[in-house]
Amino acid sequence: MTIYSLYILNKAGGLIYQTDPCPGLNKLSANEYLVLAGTLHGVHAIASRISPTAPTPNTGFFGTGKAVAGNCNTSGLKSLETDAFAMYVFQTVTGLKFVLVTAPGTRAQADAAELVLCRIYECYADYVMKNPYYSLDMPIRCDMFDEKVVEVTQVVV
Amino acid sequence: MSSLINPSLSHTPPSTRGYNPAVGVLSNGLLTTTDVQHAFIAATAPSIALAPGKRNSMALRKTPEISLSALIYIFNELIINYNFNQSSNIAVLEKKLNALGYPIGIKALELHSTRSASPAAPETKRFTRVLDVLQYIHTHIWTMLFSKTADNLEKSQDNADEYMIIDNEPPLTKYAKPPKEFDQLNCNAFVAGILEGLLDAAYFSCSVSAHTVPVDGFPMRTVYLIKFSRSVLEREFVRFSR
Amino acid sequence: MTIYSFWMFDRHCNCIYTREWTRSSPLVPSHSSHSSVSSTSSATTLPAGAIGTVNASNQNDSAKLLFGALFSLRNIANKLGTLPFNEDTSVTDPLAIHRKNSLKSFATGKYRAHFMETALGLYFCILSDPNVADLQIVLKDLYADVYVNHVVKNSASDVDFPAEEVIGNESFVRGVDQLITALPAFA
Repeated sequence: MTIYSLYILNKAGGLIYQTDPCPGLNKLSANEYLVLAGTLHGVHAIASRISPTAPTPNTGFFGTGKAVAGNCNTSGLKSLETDAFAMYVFQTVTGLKFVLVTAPGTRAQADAAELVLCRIYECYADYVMKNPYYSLDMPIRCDMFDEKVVEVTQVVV
Repeated sequence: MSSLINPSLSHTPPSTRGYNPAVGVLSNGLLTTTDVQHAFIAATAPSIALAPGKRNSMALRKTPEISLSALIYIFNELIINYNFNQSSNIAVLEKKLNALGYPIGIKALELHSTRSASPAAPETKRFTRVLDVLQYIHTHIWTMLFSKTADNLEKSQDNADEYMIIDNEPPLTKYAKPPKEFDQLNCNAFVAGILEGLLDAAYFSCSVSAHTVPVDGFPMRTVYLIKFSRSVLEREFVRFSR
Repeated sequence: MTIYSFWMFDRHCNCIYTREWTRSSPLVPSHSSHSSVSSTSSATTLPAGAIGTVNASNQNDSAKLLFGALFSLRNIANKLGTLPFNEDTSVTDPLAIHRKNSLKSFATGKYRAHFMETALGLYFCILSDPNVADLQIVLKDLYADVYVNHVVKNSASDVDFPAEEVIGNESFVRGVDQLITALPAFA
């Protein structure tokens, strides 16, 4: 699975982190990436409103008393397929979105992408959240997090 | 009534239950040896009780553990809120962290001495040699605080009064690399404060500072520089070099 | 595996055809019309024995939201993706260098939207169960067989629809139903 890009959006839809391990996508200006992030955030929300089936109440938490640590994306935009790339969205309980853009592949690739995003979430929880110099919802400028992301994306590629 | 009006030491009241400060610790014949052992165990048992009155599984474990994430989050809040916004420069911040760790060091010495005593050897020896106390810190205190031993203990070649304890992956700061502006800051000044308090309580007056010395594979490697005061070195020389 | 609905939007951003095979009423009801088949002017009569509704949700909020989502994602696909220029295919396909990366489908946990855009800017969208495989061929058939034959070649029907006008002719409705209900994915 070739990973073209990884974006991290904060809970307001602002782009706080971007990395491009492999070339394969068009290069846009910084402003255009911010607009892209905002659009994805919006479409993610809209997608849950046009569902043809009735929404199911979120009983996961009430059933077990434990918060869900994985992908909380049950009704928002989860994946996107085009001719040139596939995009996967992983949302956490705190509203943070991890967006992975890869080469197009089969439906089974979605599981592998989810695993990669899970591992990147772990790196985030360790190297960004536990960094006292990082303020919440601001662009991520942590060296150790960059190194760990490179490690994770290298293993997959 | 007469005992209240007459507090003189020559008139000792008959021994009753309870501690009489004028007399001190007494065996009042009510305690048997098993009682002493129970009291001993109660004093040395780990004392984490999160829900009073409830059987807490953590207290039943051999070595009580807490979540490293929780500790790091609290520690980070400490650095940010208490110090970051109020300190004008790095030196002041490090000094404040050091001051925060100091009382912990004093208590750590007492706690560890009590807990490491067993019914077989109820007395722990007080350390008198510099090297002994440093070894003690390197192995036992590090294990108590961080569940691992420190990585290295070195004596400085240049200065006779400097010793170094090296930790390759300090648990409190292993996820936090300071940005360029705070390159000199090492939040392990807190741990340095713990060491300073401990050594001061053991009658080795010194000053301890933490420095980041990264090495391949260990970007957060920290060196705790322990600089003993002159009196300690003189005492060492007089007592031990024959 | 089910197919929930089929939507068509034209290049003026209007919803020109809706066909829903759900048994319950649409999620976001519109203020003007509701889902009963015969009581409003915009709803179209169904062939006998068919379930669901035709053209009942064209002015709905959900139609507008769906169009918005499709439009935004299509723009993202165009801007972000590059199709590699292959010298071999350019011989057979002289327009290869102008081909833009196009959106094929997007999915949520609850449904998958299959999308196709024609050269004139017409959007074809099918909402289905997330497990349904790629329906690009179905969409292309809907366009080439049903739309072209029953709407474009039909002298009595508009091709460029004015606002709020929908495709209502029976042969088109029948053609769509025949194609979709014959699919293995249609439960």
